[in-house]
Amino acid sequence: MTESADLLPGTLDLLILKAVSLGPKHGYGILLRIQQISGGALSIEQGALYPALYRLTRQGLLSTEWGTSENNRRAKYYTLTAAGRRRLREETESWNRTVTAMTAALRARGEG
Amino acid sequence: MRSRLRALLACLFARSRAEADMADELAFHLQSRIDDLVVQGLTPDEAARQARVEFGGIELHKDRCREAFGWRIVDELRADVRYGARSLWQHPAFAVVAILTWAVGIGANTVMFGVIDALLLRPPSGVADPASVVRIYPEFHHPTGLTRTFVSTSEYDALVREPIAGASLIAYAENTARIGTDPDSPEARIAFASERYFTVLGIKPRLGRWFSGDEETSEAAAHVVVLSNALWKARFAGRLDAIGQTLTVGGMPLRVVGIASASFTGTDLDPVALWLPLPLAQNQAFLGRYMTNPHTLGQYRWLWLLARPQPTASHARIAGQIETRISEVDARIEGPSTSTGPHANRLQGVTLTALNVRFGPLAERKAPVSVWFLGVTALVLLIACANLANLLLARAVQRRHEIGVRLALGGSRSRLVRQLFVESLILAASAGVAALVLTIFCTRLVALLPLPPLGELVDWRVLTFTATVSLLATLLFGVVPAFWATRHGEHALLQNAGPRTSGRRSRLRGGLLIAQLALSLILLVAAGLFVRSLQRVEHDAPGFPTDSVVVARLDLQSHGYSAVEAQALEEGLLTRLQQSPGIVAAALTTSLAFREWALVIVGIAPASGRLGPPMPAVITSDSVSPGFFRALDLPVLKGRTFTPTDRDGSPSVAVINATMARELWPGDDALGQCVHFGVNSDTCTTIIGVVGGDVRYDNVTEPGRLEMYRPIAQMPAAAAIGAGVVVRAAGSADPAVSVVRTALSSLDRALVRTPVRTAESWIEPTITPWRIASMLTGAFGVLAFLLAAVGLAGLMLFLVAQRTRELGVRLALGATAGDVVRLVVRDGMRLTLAGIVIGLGGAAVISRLITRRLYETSALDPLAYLGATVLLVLVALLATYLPARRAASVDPAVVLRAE
Repeated sequence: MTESADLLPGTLDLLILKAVSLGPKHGYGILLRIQQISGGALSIEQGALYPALYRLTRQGLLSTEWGTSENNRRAKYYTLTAAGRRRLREETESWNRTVTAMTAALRARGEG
Repeated sequence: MRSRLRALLACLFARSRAEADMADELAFHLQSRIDDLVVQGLTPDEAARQARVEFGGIELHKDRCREAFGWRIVDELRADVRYGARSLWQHPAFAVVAILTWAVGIGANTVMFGVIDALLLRPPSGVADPASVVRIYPEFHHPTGLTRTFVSTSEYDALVREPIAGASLIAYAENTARIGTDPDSPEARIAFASERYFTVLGIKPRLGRWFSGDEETSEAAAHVVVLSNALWKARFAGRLDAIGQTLTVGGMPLRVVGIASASFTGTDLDPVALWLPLPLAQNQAFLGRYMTNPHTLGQYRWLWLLARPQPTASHARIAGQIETRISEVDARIEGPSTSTGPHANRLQGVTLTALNVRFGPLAERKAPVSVWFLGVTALVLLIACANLANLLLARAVQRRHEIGVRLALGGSRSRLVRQLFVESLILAASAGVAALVLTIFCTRLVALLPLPPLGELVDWRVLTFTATVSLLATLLFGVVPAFWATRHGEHALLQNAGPRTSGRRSRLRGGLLIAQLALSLILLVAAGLFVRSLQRVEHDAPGFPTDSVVVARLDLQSHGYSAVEAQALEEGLLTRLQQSPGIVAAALTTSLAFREWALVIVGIAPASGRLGPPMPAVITSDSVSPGFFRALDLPVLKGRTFTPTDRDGSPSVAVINATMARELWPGDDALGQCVHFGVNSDTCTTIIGVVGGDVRYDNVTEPGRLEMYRPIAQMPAAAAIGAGVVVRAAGSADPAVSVVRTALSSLDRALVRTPVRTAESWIEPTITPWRIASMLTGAFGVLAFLLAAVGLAGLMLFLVAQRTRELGVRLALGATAGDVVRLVVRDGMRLTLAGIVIGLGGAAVISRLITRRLYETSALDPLAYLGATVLLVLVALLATYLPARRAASVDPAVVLRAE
């Protein structure tokens, strides 16, 4: 999957799970929310979002339902499943560990 | 997992909806983005353009979605199936030939597996632990070549009086009898069961009980019957109060004591309707016309033996004990002289076989039809497989160009192999369906064959067999060419089509074709041999000319006739028939060839007054009225036949056949010799005549019997009750049938249903095995032959197509069309010749195996070999000539321009 250059590989899934964990959203809504919660720092290629959504749905992390959007259009809403919630927790912990380790590594200074 | 399954299901069944959903979802995204951009101040057109640019290639993302959702592999498979189906559709000739070839091979084998399974493999139902029950076959060889594998009542008594160590022995016999009091009711299969028959087989009564106590040992107490479930349902509508009721069997009222469990219908193939205690067999009602002399009953071998050996017991030791016991009994009864005399039935040994071997110690010997079925269909399957391999190889070669292009353009090899395999699967599936249709049709045909009722032929075992064969064939003939075709694909393209690289393949294909031709030639030769046998069997089947003979069997007893009344009616019938126009002779007989006959033991008093103990001999005896020899057209060789003056009270006389005269009085005159009926009888019966012809009573191949005829007028009146009538007409037998019918019903309206038939239809069942064998090998031979011809034509067409350029060059350089035709035909004939040489050799070897099944026909019968060869050459010529013509019609200009 080609993510936006700003995005580390593998982080798109995590971002999607996080975005959906804040409440059921349709695809476009997820995109907006990711931009919003990252303070606009992370941008993702719009088309690449959907293969990721389909993959997560297939893995049983997201469930889908057709509903009506805020402007009265038919839209597909994604909800986090129990498995998705568990995965989000695991991935978040693993991400935090990585970040801590990376940060520590990058802070290291030469001896003496 | 569940979501994955749902995704797959959605993909298979709701694919178009899912596609629409995906499109909707993406459209919603774009629209939302456009709305936002418009809000930010762009014009709708600009917004739409920018939204699309931001989104990226919609189709690309859709495709990634499909892949992410696991749709792609299914999509590819669908595409493969569509592509495969389309490519088969575009080559209908290839598809039809391949599917039919496959279907014929598989279908024929499915049916045959069903037949073999039912005849030989499936144990009888209802028996507890059938694997631990054995059949015991003592083989008695008669010097005339007859082999019997039954035991007599005295032998059975000796075997059970003191138990055999290590096994529980039981005996049974099957027969037919009329059930109920209605004389028109059809005969049903009945069985006599020995003591402990049901307990040893482990069958529980569904209702009531088995025989017990005196019922199993004394004839007087044995007037009881156990019904099969089917008969209970049919006769008593399954009512519980059937127990204790009376059922008439063979004219004898019997008390119903039990109903057998639903699944048990006896241990043989024909389902048994009811069981009677063994002692009841001695009753006159069942002895009937079969045994006119009750003194010989103890010696008459008619019982089958079964046993359940203990798990640890040695079968060899059991067989040994049985052999010793039987020999002791026989020595005591027949006296030591018989074991060396020319007419003894000598015990050759005792064999124990599995319960499902219903055809004697060597299944092959008694079940030739089914075993031949199997061999023949296996051959056809081989031919079909060879043909199929050839077809698929040819197709793979043809597609090398296409495959090369696809590989060169970056198609993955695994994808190509998968696609070719899918195509084979489509073929296999179509062939499977066609095979199933064919199987159902063939099952109907099999039902017409005079095999025992086989039950359901196509059950899950048979279908499993079909599916397995189908799948194996697909793997073998689908995958191998697919791999082979993709291996050199790119090179093939680089070399600009592959005629020059396929020499080795051509040899393989030629080899396969030679094998096909050889195998079909073998089948054709076998068919020829069977047809020759059939011709000869039809010619001299019963031992007398049958063309104008009509046979009727009177059953006056069940119509309430007394012996005296029966005699009166029969005399009246003969008189009437002899006066009818178109009737040459009419006579009575107590035996009817091929159906009913009596073996008697007679004592032959030594000639020339040296009185000693009479020498016993087993002779087939028949009681006949004076016109008998004319009716059957048996030539009188010596002396005279009977006249009306040979009647009760006049000196006892007999006519014998030439075989008996030669065997018993070699080099001496049989006329005037004296025989005694029953070894200890002292009434002298004088031989007054010798007739030619060996009338056959059991089957066509039996060797000449010792036959003796006695005047029916000198026999006890009871003999008349079950007499048969033989009539010779002046012309064809068919009109004479109605003459006999009319005569019968004018004497007694009730006799209108008496079976009256032409002798030819009467003996038909005996000829049937030959008819089946020749029909079957013939049909399969032609089938195999057509397959081989199609294969040959296909190969030639293919070779011609590959050589188009070469042939075009030849034509351009001045070769005539005739030259090209000759060139191609020579190639085809070279293969055919190789096939013929191998096939003739194979046939000469294989036909030795069927020598026993042939009748008066040499295994090397030149006509059969010549006929098959000529046929093969003619068809091969045709199959090569047509492609050759096509080759000759090549336009050199077109070919050379294509270079």
